[in-house]
Amino acid sequence: MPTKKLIVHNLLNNKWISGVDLAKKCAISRTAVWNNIVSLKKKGYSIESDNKLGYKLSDIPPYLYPELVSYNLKCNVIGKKIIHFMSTGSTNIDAMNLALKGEKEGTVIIAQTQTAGKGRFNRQWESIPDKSLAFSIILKPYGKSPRQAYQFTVMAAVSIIEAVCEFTGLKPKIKWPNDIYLNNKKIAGILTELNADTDLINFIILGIGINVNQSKKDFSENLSNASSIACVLNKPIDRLAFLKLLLFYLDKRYNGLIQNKFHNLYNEWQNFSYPPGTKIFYSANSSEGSGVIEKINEDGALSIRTPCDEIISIYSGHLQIL
Amino acid sequence: MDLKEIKEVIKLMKSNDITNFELEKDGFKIVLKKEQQIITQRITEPAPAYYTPQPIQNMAAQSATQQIFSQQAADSASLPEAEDPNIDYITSPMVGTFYAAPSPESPPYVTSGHEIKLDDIVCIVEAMKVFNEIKAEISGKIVEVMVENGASVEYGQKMFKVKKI
Repeated sequence: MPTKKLIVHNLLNNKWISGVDLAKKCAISRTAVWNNIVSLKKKGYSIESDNKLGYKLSDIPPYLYPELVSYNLKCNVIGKKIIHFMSTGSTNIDAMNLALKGEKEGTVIIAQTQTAGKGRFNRQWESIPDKSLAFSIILKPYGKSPRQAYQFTVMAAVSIIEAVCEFTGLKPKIKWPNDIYLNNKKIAGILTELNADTDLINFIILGIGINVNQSKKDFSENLSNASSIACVLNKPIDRLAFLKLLLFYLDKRYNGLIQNKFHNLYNEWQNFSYPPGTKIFYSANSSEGSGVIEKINEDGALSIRTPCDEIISIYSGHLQIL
Repeated sequence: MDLKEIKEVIKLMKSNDITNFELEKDGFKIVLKKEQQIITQRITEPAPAYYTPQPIQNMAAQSATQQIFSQQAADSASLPEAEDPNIDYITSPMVGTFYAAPSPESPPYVTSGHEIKLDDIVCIVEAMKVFNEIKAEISGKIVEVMVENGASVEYGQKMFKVKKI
């Protein structure tokens, strides 16, 4: 474990620890401890020091530093390694480049600020430092075909619902295939990119953007359909603790999925989605129109009942809840 | 003729784009017909494929392709002219929407006449918001882009006609 991470983990119980003890636990000299404390302070940590008592952490910075996210994080795959950028173009592009260079699966790339956050078709995804969550995960599911790739985006959507629900008591809904809505406004989006051969996935980049603590005035006027967890809850939440809970669920669901347990996830996907009978307007490929949700199929497609009582199934496209 | 041999014949039909095959021997007769691209894919792929927006019709078409007759001789089938062996196709690995460019404002990845190398990105196929950048598994020159931007593609559907160099 890197020294800084070790020092922070030893300070995170917010108790005094002597320089000698800290040096021993990190297997470094007292001078090295001191140097690290100085550089941690520069990163935004508030650390008190006392000649007799040693060091005590009084406050942490508002950033999702790897040493903070990894503290007491229980995970098998997702979150084993965390990379944090204060500012980057898009975590999906960073993740893609890292994966192409052989980065291990499970690595999470978090950005404090994304200058060119990617949405569908390179549409911009607005993220506000300290208030939103923007991260990407590298996954390398063994032996899965591109046709199964949607299962990983379903996994992300279900995990977000589970984390929001446990953390706040709110019950968001999934708008097919994977947009997360609270009170009919979008609070989270998932952008999945695939690198695959004809029949085999090489890796998947799961890009997740969540509006956590934005207030109403943080949303620009052309985002009238967007909201945040804080807007609905009427108070901000602990972004770090929420991210850790979400990573826990993502990791748990991912382990289920690679053991071929899509069926459980499929059931949750249906339970959390806008139910059959919901009136919608759809646009898919060359067709569009109004209809009602009939069902979500296990292969990922959405079946829609049209006004002439026809059932059509779509694999891509956009839905508007009416 | 056992199932394995029938499968072999189907494979050969697929690779050579043959649409009709008939064989008669000792009172046994088999007729294999290929009505459209997707149907051959279904037969050769035992895994459940995705369905088009009209799944029922396609399933019916699929079962209708494998007709085995035990009587009545027919004229021997004439094989259609085999295609240029230097022509190959890039097919879709999944059902979804074909995008020729990374965003509506960008130029397409490739157009007809474009030379491509192994692993060049040629298009995106998207389904359930999963964006699959399709890489060329052959080098050559694009002869034809066979799908319109924004159109839906089936599993195994030909998207690009490529002349190998």
